Amino acid sequence: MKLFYHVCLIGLLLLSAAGLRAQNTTISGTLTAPDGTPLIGATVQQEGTSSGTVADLDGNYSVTVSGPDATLIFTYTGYKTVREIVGNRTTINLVLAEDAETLDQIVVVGYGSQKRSDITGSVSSVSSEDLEKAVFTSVDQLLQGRSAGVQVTSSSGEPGSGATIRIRGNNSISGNNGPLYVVDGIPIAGSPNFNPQDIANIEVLKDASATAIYGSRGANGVILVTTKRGESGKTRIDVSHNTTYSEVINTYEMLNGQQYAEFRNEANRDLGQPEPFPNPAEFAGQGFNWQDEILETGQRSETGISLSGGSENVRFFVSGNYLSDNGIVKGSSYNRGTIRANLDMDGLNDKLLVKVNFNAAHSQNQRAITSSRGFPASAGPIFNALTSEPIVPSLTYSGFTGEGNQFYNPYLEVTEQDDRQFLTDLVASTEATYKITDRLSYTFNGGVNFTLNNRDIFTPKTVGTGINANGQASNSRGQGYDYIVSNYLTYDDIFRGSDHALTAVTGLEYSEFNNYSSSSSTSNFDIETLGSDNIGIGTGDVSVGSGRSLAVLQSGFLRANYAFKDRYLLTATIRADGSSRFAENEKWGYFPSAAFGWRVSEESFMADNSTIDNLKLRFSIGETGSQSIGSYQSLARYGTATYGVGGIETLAYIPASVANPNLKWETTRQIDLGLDLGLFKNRLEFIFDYFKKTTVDLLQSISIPSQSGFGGALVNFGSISNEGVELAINATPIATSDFSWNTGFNITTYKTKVIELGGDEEIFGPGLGVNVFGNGHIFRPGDEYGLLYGFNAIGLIQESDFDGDGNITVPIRNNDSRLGAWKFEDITGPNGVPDGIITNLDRKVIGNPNPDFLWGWNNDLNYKNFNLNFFVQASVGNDVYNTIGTAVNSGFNNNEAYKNQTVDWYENRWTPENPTNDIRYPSINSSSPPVANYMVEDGSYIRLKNISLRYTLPLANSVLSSVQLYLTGTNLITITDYSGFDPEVSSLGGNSLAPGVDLGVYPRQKGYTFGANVKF
Amino acid sequence: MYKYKLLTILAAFFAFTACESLEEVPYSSLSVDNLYQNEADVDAALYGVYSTHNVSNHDLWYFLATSGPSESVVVRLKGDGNQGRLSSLSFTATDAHGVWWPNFYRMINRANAVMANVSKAGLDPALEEEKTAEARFLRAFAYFHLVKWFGDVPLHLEETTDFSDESVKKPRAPMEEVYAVIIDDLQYAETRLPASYISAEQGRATSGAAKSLLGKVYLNMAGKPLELTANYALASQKFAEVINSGSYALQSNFGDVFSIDNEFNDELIFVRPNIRETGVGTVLTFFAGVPQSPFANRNGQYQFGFTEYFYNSFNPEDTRRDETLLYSYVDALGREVTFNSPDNPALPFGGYGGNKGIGFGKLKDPFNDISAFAHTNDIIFIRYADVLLMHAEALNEQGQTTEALPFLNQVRSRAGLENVSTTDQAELRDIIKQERKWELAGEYVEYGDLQRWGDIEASLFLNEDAAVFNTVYSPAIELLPIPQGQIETNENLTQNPGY
Repeated sequence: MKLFYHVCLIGLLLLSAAGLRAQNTTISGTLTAPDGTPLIGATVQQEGTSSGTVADLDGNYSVTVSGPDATLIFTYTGYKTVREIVGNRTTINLVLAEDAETLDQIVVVGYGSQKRSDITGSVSSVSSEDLEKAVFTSVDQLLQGRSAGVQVTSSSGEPGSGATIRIRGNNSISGNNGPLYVVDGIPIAGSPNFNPQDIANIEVLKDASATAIYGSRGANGVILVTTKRGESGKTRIDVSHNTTYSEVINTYEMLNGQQYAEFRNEANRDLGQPEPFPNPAEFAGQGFNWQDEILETGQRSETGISLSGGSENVRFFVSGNYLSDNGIVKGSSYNRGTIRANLDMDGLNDKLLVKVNFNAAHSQNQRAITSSRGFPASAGPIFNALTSEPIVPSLTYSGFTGEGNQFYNPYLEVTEQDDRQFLTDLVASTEATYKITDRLSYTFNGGVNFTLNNRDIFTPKTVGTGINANGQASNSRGQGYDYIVSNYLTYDDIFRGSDHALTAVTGLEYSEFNNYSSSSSTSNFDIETLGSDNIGIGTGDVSVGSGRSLAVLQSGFLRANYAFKDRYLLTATIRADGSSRFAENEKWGYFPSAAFGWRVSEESFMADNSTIDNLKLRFSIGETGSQSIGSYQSLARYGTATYGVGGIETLAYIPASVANPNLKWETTRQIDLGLDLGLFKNRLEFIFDYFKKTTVDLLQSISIPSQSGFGGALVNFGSISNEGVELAINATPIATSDFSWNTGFNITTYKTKVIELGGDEEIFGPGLGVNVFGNGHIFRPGDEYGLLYGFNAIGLIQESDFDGDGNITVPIRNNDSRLGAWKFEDITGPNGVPDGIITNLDRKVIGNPNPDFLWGWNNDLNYKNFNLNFFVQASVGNDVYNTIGTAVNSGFNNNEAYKNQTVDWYENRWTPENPTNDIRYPSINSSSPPVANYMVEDGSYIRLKNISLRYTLPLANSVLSSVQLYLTGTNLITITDYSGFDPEVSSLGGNSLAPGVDLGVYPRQKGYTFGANVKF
Repeated sequence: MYKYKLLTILAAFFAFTACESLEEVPYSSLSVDNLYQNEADVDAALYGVYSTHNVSNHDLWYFLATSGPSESVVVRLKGDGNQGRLSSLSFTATDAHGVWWPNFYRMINRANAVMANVSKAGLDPALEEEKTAEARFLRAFAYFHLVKWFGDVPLHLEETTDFSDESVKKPRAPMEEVYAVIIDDLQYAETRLPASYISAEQGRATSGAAKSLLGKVYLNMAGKPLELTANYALASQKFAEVINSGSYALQSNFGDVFSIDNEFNDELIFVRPNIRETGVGTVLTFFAGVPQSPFANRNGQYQFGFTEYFYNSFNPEDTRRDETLLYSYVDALGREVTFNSPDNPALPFGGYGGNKGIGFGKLKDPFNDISAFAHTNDIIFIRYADVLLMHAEALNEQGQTTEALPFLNQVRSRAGLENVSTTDQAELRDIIKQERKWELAGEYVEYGDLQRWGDIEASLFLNEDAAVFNTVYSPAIELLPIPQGQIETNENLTQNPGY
């Protein structure tokens, strides 16, 4: 109903827009270079609006403007921009002058910026124009598919949930694999929490040449975020609003009431026990579909306003944004408000430029999915919505089932449990640059990043773990205060005017990371109304704790860029990092890099080539580090415990760790070979990179034999490598005055290989949990990263597998020889040969969670005032553990608590009448499924991530300069063979050791968005 | 002019970037440098040694690895979980008993750390020896468990201060060597530990505890597998010292031994004190509790119970039967519940869908509203009745049957049973064994007793869970397998034969 209303509203707006159109005038003309050649693809735009066009193959354009007061801006790369007031003219022909200064896009690099043509490293850029056409909540989501070499996996569809970002693969096994974010020059811990619409540009630094300037934090790549800034001139006001309705992409078909009763009767008959539901027919048409009970239509709305402008010496950009996202799981919501103020001031005859940036963000996340791992009490509502039996007395029932088992009600979990996570982020910085001379400038950049993280959970006595605890509550508080001060000098083009050009940056930096945390929890709530707002009411066991840590990073850095005749480019970088986290013998690390570029297209022999406009070869080599060591990890520390001596809780001291005086960063060595090619006036562009990187001294938590009194230790051991290629193609196949088409395609393929593990033959990932036993991932020298590892089911046990005396003739596991049970491949035994019994030795590689290819394809089509953007993104060749699928597809009995099952399994299961050999359909009462090939599915997908149709109203109104209306669809089409909610999943996302696991996460949704942007 | 300007800027440039030390001083954890300042610090470090025995839900696996592998205990969960495998003696190297390997060695390392650092506190020499004695008692306590469970085990007698292979990958040492260390530690401890503590320190090791444990060590060495029968005399000598000390006495009422209102009573020699706080309580009560029973008001898990066979083995006159087994009682809702009663099929006692075992009566904590994981029932490691029965056993094995009888009969008469008068050694041996099963059921002694007596195979025929799991006797099950994870991290460890 609401949906219909919105469609009508949009329609009405479109109609009224058509009425306004008559007031406009059309201007046309031809744009040429001084030598008379047409400037194909030059942009013509009315100032202050998004209405505009591009010149066609003959340099002709035609554009509609709002009236005689309109100013047209003519831009073309490499030429000076021209502004013309339209007046009474209908034809404006222009000759644009060449402009050596702007020949190039300026690219932000660490501690400065460079012309794109001078870049020797691998840096890809994403501009705000690409981002505006989709709906994003968080900064980390928006890179998905936009940049070659970047893999983005969002762990679930939960509102406000983060994403896992890997730039050129995983560099570490137990350490951090996430990139470093630098926002307006301030490196921040974790991923940024602010409104993505404030972003002007994102640069992804990928190779060692680009990242070495960030030294011990650069190994996983660096994402530089530049926010929008004001420009001198009239104050511009942009107001935007959009609303999204979303629904689940896919659900499971579970047994209904009658089917469940029949299933349970059969299960009990099979065990020789009485039937629990003597008359299944009485449940016909009854029973809860718990998925329906916990899911609803999600609604998200976002409203933003920004003001920008300024005088000649003071410019500002101020924005505010409010987002409210009520996800598709009942009881979940994410609300966020952000405020940004960016201020630029010039002084001292333009010798001083001061930039002040301030951003505040506060988000309130009501989480519905607290956990998805603990069984049975904290398996989480998604798991329970699939597995809970459909026949219970009421929607809000929370007691024992007919057979005396505790019933965990998913509906109560999402509606009654209160899990609030509040995040507050303040980032403020001041950058002051003073031009000491024309060529030498000094920059001070100081910033703070304050984060507050509050999480309060109340689990009432009707829900999960609250049942035994009689209600339980916890409060946890985390505070982070990070400070950074950097000072650097920039020497620009010292030998200006000759064939030699040298630019250099050198500086010092000091950073401090302070963290404070506290937590408290208790249980036994006789009164539940106040929940976690007054946990003093709980009379149960009280647990309190607090912690504090400090880490210091001191650095010096130097970068020099040298160019000879603009053709031969050399970049050299070194950074020295001294980190308190490193052990006493390894306090300082040094990270050098060098890169070479050859702009072949500038050579005289290329001068006559009219096809190739740009050809550059790049090569870089260097070392970067990853210092993902927590504070104090290298020290011998004592912790505390308690003991009930004398019946009194008494403090006890316990040794917690042993000193490791040699603990240090992980080092990543990377080479990159690149080629940039621009054809046909750069209307067709190729950017190709080959890279190979090797990470040594992996930080690993290794198991120490427990006979030492300790279980594990953090050490530097082993190495892994990544090798791959990336290709980005950008093209403007059509550019006429009425119609243009820009398209960008990028594709990435790489292999991450474990080279050595410091003596260990193999490392296993964590246990997969939730009723599925065993580890599921293996890391072995010579293998790819994190291969899926488990048993190999080859069929189901049949009558024919028994001999005449009724003895089983095939190898069995855990003495399980029931008909229709899984039959596994007997791979080997203790003596290296198959031993006729299935044990843990009979596991092997059963899948690969790493995609063969990742690609993204963006298309932007303009026809007059219409813009259509669609973006397709794909992951090809990766396997996913559908563990939740196996839990509801195997008919198994765990702890005497039966779980609901899918209709698919029930209808196809092994029975004497249906002796199937399909491993997806074992017989009823199967044993708990060990990790095996039946839970491996192809997780490849191609997704229409985003499609957006925009219409810009041509207005001649002096107040409104532009109105844009749009319809956007998100995740509308997903092509996949995956049978679960969605193939893009990572339940154990925080754990690099366990990629591609589906334990039943907050389902991803497809959404329909209606929105408007109004500019004043 | 220009030069000066530049210099000023450069000076400011370096000044802005303050140089701080990269030295780390942890705020929230202690270091060995600020510990061991006085006696209280040493005591806190000793409590750290004791606390290694109290680890989350490991009490369940301790119980199932000590009392579980016997004919009297049966588990509810017959799936392919750890409970069934331990209770049925179908041991595998990945079973949950393995969690105790790290726990015992943590106890050993912490005890070694106390021994290495106690001198820093500058205590009076006698007091310092007393603290060392306490650490050595605990080290012996841990090694005795290890040697009983696993046979040959690595010997670590120094604090671990680095993770070199020499420090952490020691191979298994022969059982005899391990026992030599245990005896040495306990002999050091028995003369230096105090006879008792003030009430706020009850639960710490006493000289009586050291002597009782030493006697138990000798008794086990005299039995299988070492069969150093000369040690029976050493054992009875230690038990006699404990008995003659006059420090201990039987409770007149059997149920009072376990009552949470009667903790640290005269019968208890060494216990793990538990209180109703997470981390210092026991979870075993919760795992043992029968749902809706009035004895554990936090919906117990009823993971194990006693067999009907065991119930029937009791003389109906025996007062221990209805204290040990919850055969019939009034439940929390006021209903009369009788095990396996056909009269009230709606009550699930006896297990959903089948007979699962009779509830456990020695762990009752009906008033706990704190946490399911924090019950106050103390874990009793050695009590006087155990010492009396071990003394009787040691004397009988030396042929001193007449001398053995009074100690056996003390225990029997408390239970309301008639005195035994036979002086036939073999007959008396069987009587003492049965008496231990009745008296100490579920008190973490069964598997060790069966090992010592060579009765594991005989017990297997009566073991309900073994019948379900089709366990076939092999000499391998005289010991538990070394945990698989330990063998994987230390290539110098060998597995016990048969696993």
